Amino acid sequence: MQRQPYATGEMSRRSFLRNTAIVSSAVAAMAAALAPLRELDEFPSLEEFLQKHYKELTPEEMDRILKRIADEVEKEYGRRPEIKDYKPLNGVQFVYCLNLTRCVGCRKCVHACVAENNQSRSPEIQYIRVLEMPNGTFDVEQSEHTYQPPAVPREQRYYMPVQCHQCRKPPCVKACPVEATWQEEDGITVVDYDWCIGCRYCEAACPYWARRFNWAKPRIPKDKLNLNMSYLGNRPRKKGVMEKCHFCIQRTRAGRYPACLEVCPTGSRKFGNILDPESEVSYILRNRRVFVLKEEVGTMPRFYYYFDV
Amino acid sequence: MTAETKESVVLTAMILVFVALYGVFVEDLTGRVRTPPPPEPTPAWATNTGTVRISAAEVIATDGDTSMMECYVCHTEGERQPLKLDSEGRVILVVEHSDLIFGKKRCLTCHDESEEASLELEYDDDGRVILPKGHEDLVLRHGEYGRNNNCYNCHNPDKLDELVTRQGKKYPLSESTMLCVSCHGPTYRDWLRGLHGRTSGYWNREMGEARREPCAACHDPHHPEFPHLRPAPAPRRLHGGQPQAFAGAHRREAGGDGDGGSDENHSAQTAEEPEEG
Amino acid sequence: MRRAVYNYLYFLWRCVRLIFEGDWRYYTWIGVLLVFMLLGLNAYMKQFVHGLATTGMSDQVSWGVYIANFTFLVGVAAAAVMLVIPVYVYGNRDLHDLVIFGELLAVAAILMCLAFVVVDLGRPDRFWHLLPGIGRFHWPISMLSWDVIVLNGYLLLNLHICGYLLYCRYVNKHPAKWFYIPFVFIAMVWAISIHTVTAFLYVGLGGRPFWNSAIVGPRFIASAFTSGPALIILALQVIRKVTDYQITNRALLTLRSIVQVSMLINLFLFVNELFKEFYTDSLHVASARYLFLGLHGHSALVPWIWTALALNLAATILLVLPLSQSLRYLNVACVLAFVGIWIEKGMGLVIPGFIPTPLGELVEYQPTLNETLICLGIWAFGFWAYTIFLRMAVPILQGRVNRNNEDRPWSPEEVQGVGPGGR
Repeated sequence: MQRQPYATGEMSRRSFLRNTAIVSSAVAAMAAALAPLRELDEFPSLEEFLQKHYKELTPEEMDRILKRIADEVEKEYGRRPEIKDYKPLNGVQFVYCLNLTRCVGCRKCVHACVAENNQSRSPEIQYIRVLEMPNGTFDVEQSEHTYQPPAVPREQRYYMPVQCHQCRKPPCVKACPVEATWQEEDGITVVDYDWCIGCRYCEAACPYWARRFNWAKPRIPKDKLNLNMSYLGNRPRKKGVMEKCHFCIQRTRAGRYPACLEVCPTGSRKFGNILDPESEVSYILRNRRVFVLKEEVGTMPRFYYYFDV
Repeated sequence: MTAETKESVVLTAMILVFVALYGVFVEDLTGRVRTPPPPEPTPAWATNTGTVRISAAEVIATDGDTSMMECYVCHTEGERQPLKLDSEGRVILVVEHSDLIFGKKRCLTCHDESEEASLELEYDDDGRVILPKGHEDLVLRHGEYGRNNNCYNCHNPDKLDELVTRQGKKYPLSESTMLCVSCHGPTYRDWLRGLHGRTSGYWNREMGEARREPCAACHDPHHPEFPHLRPAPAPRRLHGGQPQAFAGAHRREAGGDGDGGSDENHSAQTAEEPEEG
Repeated sequence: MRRAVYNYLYFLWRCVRLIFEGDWRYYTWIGVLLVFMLLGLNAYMKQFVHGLATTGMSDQVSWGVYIANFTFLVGVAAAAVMLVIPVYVYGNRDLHDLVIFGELLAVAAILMCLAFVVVDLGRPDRFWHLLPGIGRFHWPISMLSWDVIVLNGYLLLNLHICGYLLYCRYVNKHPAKWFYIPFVFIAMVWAISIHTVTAFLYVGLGGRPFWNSAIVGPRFIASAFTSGPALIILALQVIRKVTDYQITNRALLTLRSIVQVSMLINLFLFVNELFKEFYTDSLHVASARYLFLGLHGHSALVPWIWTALALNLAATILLVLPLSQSLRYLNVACVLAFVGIWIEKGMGLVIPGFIPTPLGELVEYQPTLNETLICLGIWAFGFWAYTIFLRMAVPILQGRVNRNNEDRPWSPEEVQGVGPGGR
């Protein structure tokens, strides 16, 4: 049965009251639905909201941003960091080599990375994942990630740590719709944490499962904060953005070894500039049996696994 | 019921439902969001950049406690200390050098002080220590088949705090690396290139120095096989309670928990050195 | 000119007023939808405050029901073109007026897609980063950038076509062919493209062998052209029942044949996929094995996919038999097909691509209550949007809501001078 529309615009008083009651109860329910916003503790300031992409920032803008970040970190953690924007060094192309003969699977690299790069402890983010592989296969489906025997290495196993390979043809860079991740001249694929929209397409695209997302607000123990920070590297991230290994950009662009290499007890990790013919990595690539993971995907990683003999 | 009445009923019901929803939202009845648990502290040894041992050379270089290296406190200078051999000509390790018998460890490294009374060693007819069960792999072992089971392969019998190569070249303790080199040439070649062993500091030698670790910083000369280490805690999943990743054909060992297991397995030697600067 | 704008705004206002008018069945339906929308809004607020950890997603399975629903609904939106093609290419008069209903469904579906994407974003406040010229739009390399263009473009196309046709009907004007026919033909091609671009999101990822297959694109189209018209068949019958708008059975049967053919093609492509995965039996079969048979003791999705297959087969059999010419059986077949394809495309495509991870880790996924409430809220929003679109469109198409019926004086000049095309 069709009702006639209110052509004349008249209504009875009862229906007016009823309509008002409906509308106001609906509006009240909607306002109450927004109640969780009471707990919102972090909302971007206007300046942060309008912040431009890293590649478009002038040096003055970068200085202002660095100062703002230092202020925020000081407010949150009670200690003031030293934060810089490290630029790539000239004539450098980083390469990482990992000696599978020597890696014993102790996972110290994982935790050193966490400490150096201010990763969230809860929810836990770890850039490096050590795979315990059975001898005789490269099939990662047979790997064990959560091994915890009393001692490593275990019999008939070898250990393969995987982190971002800073591929020369990075699928994550192709995927990002806003160019929040890109590869710099020295080979490090970086993320602009203030530009990322958190769509996680890059995480789906990565063949090495190297990218991590901040599913909640990151929690770092205040006393463990690493105060030597860089804009593109280990400054504390916010919830809702991606992050990943960046070869300890705050160390390597200052000429130092990354944290994972420093802590490795067996010296399995080698890092350096492939354009330098005298570097360890150049020697390894010339003289050792070297391979990359998932070569058929065509990513051309900068991360090489090799054997000693 | 006329259409008008039905409409009134429906609209009234809607008002009540909205009011109820208001209550539900304000009281958060659809379920409070669980915040992630507080982070557990990472054990300090998991981020310790120190080497697995401190070599004699390092102790000397850093003016450390060299009391264990003063041989002539017990031995007589000038007098050659003969080796005790058993019936088959194998060297019998003496109790005074029990750190050689049990790798680099003394009993109390693993055992509790309260157990000390039961830590008596037993000897066989030759005077050789009878190894307690489970300690078989800790014995002095430099090379397979007991190749270097003779102290004077490396130590100078006439001057015990000096090292000597098979060719007779002598080195002080502070230059122990060159003794290693006398047999392990290819490894030394790799070490010089930075391929073998640890490096720390600056990859860019123009911006700073790199520090190399000598052989004995990682390899106990009397038991050079690299010690097994306790693995640092395994990764956790975002949503706990998930089934664990498949472990090939083997499941995780029982007893292997987040603490790294018990100390009962003597093959677990952990790196507990002071932190490196 | 000012008069034209004023008249158009009055038309819009008239439409908005229509939304609030209805009988008790209408209010009940809207009420129920509003309840779900409010629950969804509340759940989303919790997610906005606490982060995406309130969902069941993790680094291992980083896309879940949001993107699954998004993928499915892009297909439904593309299927509006299945009404357009018979009418404009083959001159099928039965379906002529139904084009608007199909395109309004597409608009509602696209709005749902956009909603699902927004709730999936970690930083929705940075949405402006996607805007070309203002943000940094990684076009043409990123497939997601293509998706942004095609989805929004499709939305605008359909809004334009529907809005123009309805407005012309409201003011008793013949719509000017040049102002909408070209857009109709663009929309035909565009509809195929929105779903192909969405497929390419998955196909282009070399690190995910389950998705990195050329058949994903054709499967998307085939399943879209099954599930979309199936929904339209059901929606048209609802319209027929609730309003007195005339819809012939012939129209429904034309749509039935579309669903029939598309479903057969969909099944054929599905068989192709099964063969390729299981006959080759390479290491890349792991995800398919997880989905169909379970992998290393994990089999959460196995009952779902087999149910989907059963539903699809049942729907196919029904559709092929003359039995489904009877509306009752046709409706059953449509529901079976819609649900079957929703499972197959959502859970059967998106989730297994993440299991196992590229490093061989097996972590399963289960949506949380919060996530489910948000999904239900967005579906309710979609139904609500479509309902109010129809609430506006049907009376206009019937001539019942028309400028001539309004109780408002119009001068003859106004009647003549409004809109392009004139008399």
